[in-house]
Amino acid sequence: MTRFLRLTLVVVGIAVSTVVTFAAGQTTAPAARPAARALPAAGVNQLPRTSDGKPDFSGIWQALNTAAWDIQDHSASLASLLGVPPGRGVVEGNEIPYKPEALEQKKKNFAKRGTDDPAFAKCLLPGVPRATYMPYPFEIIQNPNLVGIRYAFARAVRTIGLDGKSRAWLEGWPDFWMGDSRGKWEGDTLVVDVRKLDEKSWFDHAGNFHSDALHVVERYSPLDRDHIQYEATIEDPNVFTRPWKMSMPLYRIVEKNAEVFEWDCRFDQDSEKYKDAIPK
Amino acid sequence: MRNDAVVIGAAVVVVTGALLTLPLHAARQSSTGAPSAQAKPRNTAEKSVAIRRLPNGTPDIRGRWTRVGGGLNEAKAPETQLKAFGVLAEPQGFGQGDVAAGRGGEVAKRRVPKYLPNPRPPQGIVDPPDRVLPYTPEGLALRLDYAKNMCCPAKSLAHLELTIRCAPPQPWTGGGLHILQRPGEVVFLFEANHHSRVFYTDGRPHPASDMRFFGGHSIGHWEGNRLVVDTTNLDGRAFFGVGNTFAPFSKALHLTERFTVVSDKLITFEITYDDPKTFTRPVKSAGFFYTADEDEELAPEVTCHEGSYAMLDVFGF
Repeated sequence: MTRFLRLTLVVVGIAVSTVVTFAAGQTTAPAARPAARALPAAGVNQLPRTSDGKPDFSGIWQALNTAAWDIQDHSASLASLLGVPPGRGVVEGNEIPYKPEALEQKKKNFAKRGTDDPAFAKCLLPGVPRATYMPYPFEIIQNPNLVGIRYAFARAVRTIGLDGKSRAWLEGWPDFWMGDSRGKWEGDTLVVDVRKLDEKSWFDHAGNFHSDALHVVERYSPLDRDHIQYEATIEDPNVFTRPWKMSMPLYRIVEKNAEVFEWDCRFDQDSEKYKDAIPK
Repeated sequence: MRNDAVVIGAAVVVVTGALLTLPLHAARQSSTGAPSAQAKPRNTAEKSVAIRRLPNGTPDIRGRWTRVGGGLNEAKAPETQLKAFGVLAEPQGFGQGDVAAGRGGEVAKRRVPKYLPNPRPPQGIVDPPDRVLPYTPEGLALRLDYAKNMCCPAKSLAHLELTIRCAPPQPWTGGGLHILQRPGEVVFLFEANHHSRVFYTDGRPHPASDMRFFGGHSIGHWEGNRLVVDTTNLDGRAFFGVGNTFAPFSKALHLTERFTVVSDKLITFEITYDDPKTFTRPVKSAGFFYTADEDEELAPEVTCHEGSYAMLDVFGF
């Protein structure tokens, strides 16, 4: 109980909203539709493997698409501080099967995206799967029983347990912005089951949203040394009429000395907002 | 009334921040007491204890750990108004990273986690031995300014205690963590406030000195069983201090951390805080990591910005 209360102190509640719009960074190239690729022949750009024979995803990766602004096909717009770059979407079939009332909510979110987007507007944790396709790098550090991911945006961190432990002890806990992730290997694919996600994150800047019934299954499939095919299956019976999928390639950052630096943009936002304010 | 609410809020945040430096799973666990800085670890690096190693020969420190100590628990720390709420200037014998005060200002009563080494390795300031910090005149003036003006209400945003702001964690922050490791890199993933630290051990340099971070930039290298981490490029906003008073280091702060792998269950460390604008000579603090019960997991996420109304309470907008 003590543990629960202590967590509640810092987790529960919606953060102070600000109207400062986060400068979303440079635009990125429009996404190509993910295409099936054959694994390269042995010896050609070969996939690194761990000592236990699993693909080794350790390294710095980034999605090169515009899904963080809109996971569906979208035109350019000036809706955000730096504008929305045009791009193809990442949703299979491009349609998101909203229930009618949920679609209305999505439209309301869209209208207020400049101030209400939890990530681009408020610099809060991006949630899963959006953390993967924010237009910034993230680092995977893979150990045999645990995969850690450090995302550049909002200092988001995720751990993915591979030891098959029960998550029953989390019953009764509040939900998490980044959810509770558990993984397993299916051949060379890392399959991650993400539950206990709260309803506060959005899928993108266009206001695509979910409830706290969201269940995400991610699949990280190696294409070669420097490319992963990423797929997320989205299930949320409160919001959608059926499960749906998004997919995209992830690209390895190969620059020398690349690293994911500390970036707490919410702290920076507060520093700017209150720099001349007098505490009451 | 408004001020009272803010004061209480600040006190709660200070205490909560202190609590969060222990892993959440340990909240029901406890520790008795106040280890002395003179205590010696049961195992020392000199003894030939078998240490798990990676194929490249470096110690294998992957796994679940709890980090305690390492902060500057200075003696004769100035008091602030937070004392009225039971937040003591000097926690009773603990280095930073341990719970100092419980409800009503009582010293927190905790049971000893079963994996804690006994006797405890040193925690907190070890040099100077009397824990009286050697301030420069400039450093002392800033220290007293913060003691006077951080509470209540704070004089400005800059004087606000950092956990109330959900600041990025400082390099000496403790608590429960996962250590991940691969050739050329060691990563600490802490439970509290999704704090992470990365130590590339591949020989890369720090970035240019005008690239600044709240928690600085770290690089590391192995010297036998010791991981030596060098941290610079801090932005001058991180605070030192334990208890109810804090003050910022300068941008000149240079940290050298020496993590010594004593065994598969114990890592001791010493941090040298070299900040010539704040102290006339470098100050050293110690602490240790002990392994956690493998059956206990860390919370998947402990957030701060996402659940905080603190800034609204403090500033009214």
